[in-house]
Amino acid sequence: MKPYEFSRLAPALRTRAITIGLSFFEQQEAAEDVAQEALIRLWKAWDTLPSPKDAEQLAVSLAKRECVNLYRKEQRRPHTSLSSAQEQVHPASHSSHSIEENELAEAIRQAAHTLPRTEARLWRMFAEAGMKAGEISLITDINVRSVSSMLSHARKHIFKILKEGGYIDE
Amino acid sequence: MNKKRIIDDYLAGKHPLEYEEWELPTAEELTHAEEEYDRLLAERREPKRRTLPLILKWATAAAVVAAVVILGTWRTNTPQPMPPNDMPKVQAEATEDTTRRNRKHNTLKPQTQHVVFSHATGGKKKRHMPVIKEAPNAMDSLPLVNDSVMLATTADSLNFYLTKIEKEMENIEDSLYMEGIAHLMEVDARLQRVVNRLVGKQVETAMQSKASVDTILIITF
Repeated sequence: MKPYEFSRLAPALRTRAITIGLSFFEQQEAAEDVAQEALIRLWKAWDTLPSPKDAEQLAVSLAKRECVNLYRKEQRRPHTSLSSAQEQVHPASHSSHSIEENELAEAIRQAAHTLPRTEARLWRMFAEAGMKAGEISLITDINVRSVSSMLSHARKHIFKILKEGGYIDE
Repeated sequence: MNKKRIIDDYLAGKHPLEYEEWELPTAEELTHAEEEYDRLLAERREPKRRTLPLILKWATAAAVVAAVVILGTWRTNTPQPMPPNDMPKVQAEATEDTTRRNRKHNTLKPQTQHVVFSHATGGKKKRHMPVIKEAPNAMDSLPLVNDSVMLATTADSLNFYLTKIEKEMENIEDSLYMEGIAHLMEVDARLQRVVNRLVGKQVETAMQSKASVDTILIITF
């Protein structure tokens, strides 16, 4: 399907994914996480989907899969919240990279984890999924200008932390 | 050193750090995930079904308790008719008080008499007056069980109480007596009305008898 169709269908698909997350977790925040992860993957595969019906079916399946993944993460880490389970640090898999680069990547992750929850969510879509502000706005149902503003704020925040950590020269 | 370039690319959204599988899962993975979702959802909802009857039991018990309390309150507030053959409540209480006091205290000690005041129609049931005098045998002079038939109405009951008060206070000086009566009338509006009515009737009766005497005298002359 064409990219512009994503902007047309995204709100309905997001609502569907949130409903699935809410029926499973009964928590709005967890449901938002489920919808975000499901829609990011759906957006990544958008051009391979033949019809809106397939997109809806895939969105439902992805949302259910995200529910199971989040639940398992929570079961593995019973003393942490769903948000922290969602925001857990992924192990650095850059075996070919130098130790110094891995250290830098870990510092960037730690800096990103200090963001407020909503900003962290938007930043993850921007930095990790490579989405633009308009696409993030469709998935999160947040105004485009607000998305841009929050991304800018997140960028400054991460930059400041890295600078304080000595990773950026004066 | 490409450290600065890595940071710049990351902040520009061109260098993702998380090497996650953004690609679509396979159809098998999705099917398995959906089955797992349905199973987990059923497990998470099952405890609610188990606790539902317990909640219903508690709700039923609470409703029964509330009904009993409401019924009890309603019956308490409803005026109960006085059995005709029973001793009036005021006498019963006074007798009970006296009996209890006699058991509790030494009989050689002088006993005090409480004036117990009650409305037959409910409301404030009992009003203890301060100790007025020592009257060990005061109850003997009061109208007792045989007079209970006469206490059927409110006015008769108040007559009884007034008689009782008068007997209690007959040996007291006028000033104290009037003060006691004034205090009683001050705290009880109904007593004021009844006393006024009684006084009014007495005055009317006296006026009528005086008028009849005058008429007889006129006829005589």
